[in-house]
Amino acid sequence: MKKKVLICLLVTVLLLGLVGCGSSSGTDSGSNEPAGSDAGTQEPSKKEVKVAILIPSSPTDGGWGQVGSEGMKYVANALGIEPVIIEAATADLMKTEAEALAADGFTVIFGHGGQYASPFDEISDDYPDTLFITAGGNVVKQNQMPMGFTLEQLTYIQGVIGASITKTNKLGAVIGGDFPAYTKTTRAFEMGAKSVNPDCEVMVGITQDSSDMNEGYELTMSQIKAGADVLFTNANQASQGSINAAKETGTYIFGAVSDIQNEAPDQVISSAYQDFGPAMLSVVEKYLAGELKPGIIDIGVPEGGIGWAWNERVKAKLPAEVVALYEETLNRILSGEIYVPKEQEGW
Amino acid sequence: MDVLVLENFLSSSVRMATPLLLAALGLSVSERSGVINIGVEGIMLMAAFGAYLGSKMLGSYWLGLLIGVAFALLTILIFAIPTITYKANQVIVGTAINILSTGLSSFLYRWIFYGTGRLDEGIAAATFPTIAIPVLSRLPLVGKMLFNHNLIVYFGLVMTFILWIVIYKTSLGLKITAVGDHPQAAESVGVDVLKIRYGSVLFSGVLIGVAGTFLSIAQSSSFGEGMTAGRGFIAMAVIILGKWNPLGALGGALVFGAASALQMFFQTLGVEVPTNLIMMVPYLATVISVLLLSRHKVGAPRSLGVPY
Repeated sequence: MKKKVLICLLVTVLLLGLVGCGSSSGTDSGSNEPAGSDAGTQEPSKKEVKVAILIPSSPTDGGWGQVGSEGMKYVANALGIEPVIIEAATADLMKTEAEALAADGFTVIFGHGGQYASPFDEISDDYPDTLFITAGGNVVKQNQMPMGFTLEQLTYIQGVIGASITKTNKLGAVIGGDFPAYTKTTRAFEMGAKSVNPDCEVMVGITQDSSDMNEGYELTMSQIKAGADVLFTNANQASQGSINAAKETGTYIFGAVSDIQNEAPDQVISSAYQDFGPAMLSVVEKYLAGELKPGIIDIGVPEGGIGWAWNERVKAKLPAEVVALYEETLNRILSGEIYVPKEQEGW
Repeated sequence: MDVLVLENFLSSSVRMATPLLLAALGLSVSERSGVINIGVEGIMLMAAFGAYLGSKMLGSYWLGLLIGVAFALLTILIFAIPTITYKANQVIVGTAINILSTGLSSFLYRWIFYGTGRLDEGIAAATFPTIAIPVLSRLPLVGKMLFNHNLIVYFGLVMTFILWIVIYKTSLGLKITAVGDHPQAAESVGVDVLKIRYGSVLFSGVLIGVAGTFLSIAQSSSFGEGMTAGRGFIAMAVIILGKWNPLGALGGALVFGAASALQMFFQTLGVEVPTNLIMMVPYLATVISVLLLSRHKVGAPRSLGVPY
């Protein structure tokens, strides 16, 4: 008798666990169902197009994973298809999930990060009818290529502005990992800072776990205590901790990947954000039209895949010549006068 | 080197140690009664979510704490009933709890907050404020290290001493230890083994709940999926390092907290030491401590993990 009750209990616990794990795709597709079915009836020809994205972190992380899943939803809405968002953080999952999708006849599979390049590389030859796109990375084949977002150009400008307003000549930056997608943003930030103020020191902290906001808080706080008076954060969930430290001490902070100004309206100067939706859509459309040539797909400010969001409240307090630095530096970068190395160039 | 940086390193060590300390104190009581609960990671995560939910929706960090602890208690009941009443394998049920909590907390967070407009004004919820203790907080170094924190940090420190007294100086403490060492003998002198085990496990649930609350609405101001980042498992190492003694747990938690703070401290100062190497130190200390333990035969409750 007791054993039966126990077995029932354990089964319930495990079932609940499965419900919890499987829920994400359920809610995601649920919220977009109307758009999918509407467009589906109007444009039956596009119904065969199947697009998916694999993301390495949670779609609610307020950073990388979130902008990726929102990009997918944008594409799905525009094409009238189901958004397919799959969390795959480890190399074995990246490979098996992508292979399952490819075998299922998916047209385009996005891997949200340079780390997807090598797992995709292992399988892309077996599925020539599927296009594999990675955000970052450097594997280029007939049916696999990276999108190269030049976010580093904007974090360079943040460095220029930061170094122009610092009084201590010390800046603090926190990132969520030590691979190129993260490090390119802080290195460009440092490059920008030193370009206008060679005495400026940039302290860089890397979190052990970008889902840990307490670590973000402590890293940023230690930089503030060491004298940093302008901060930068690009660490997904951990960014929330950096923002808290900035708020607590009233220190200016820059954001990257997503726009963070709502989280600290008095401290955030600007965010260098990434807008994946239009960029992903243009790749899918070019591919469907047969216009996509193998190579790194450059996506920068002119293409609209990245952008600069001032926080107007803080911008109003900055000297006009500092505000003008944005346009000025951006023009010099776009004209080629200043060269900020890209992610693929050995950062 | 700047005094401010050093002060921050010390106070950061204490802040990083607090969730480990609270969870380890809770676990040391439940393990003393013979119940090993590796579901602590999941329970802490559920509490962190509950606390954020309460604080964000109701606007009060006290209500957040209440709901965080309630979530922890509900989750730990799912562990306690099968393992204590139905004698299920504690490790297996604990693992199930971790899987359940990871999924459930993410599901609830996405369902309630993500894409619902509730976060449009910002993610931050009401948080426990820092309370500087008059006079003491102005002491050099020690002041910032120990006397300039939020209430939960003080609670952890005070609880350490209370638990030490309860475990070593009261008959209740003796009963808990007896139940964990030799439940048959304890029952033969009239101790209700199951009652003591339930009490100990539920009490550990309260402390684990406070630890989770600390993560989301005291040290931070928001919930993030998987934000416990392995702290529950580290807490289990802390008890071993602390030999199931509350004062030892304090020491163990500080060792781990200081290691975390040290790797950040080095990064800030630009010291070129791989951070992973620094994070290895407390684990090495734990392994060495386990080796020493087995030679001296002290510490671990003899009926740990054995259902009664």
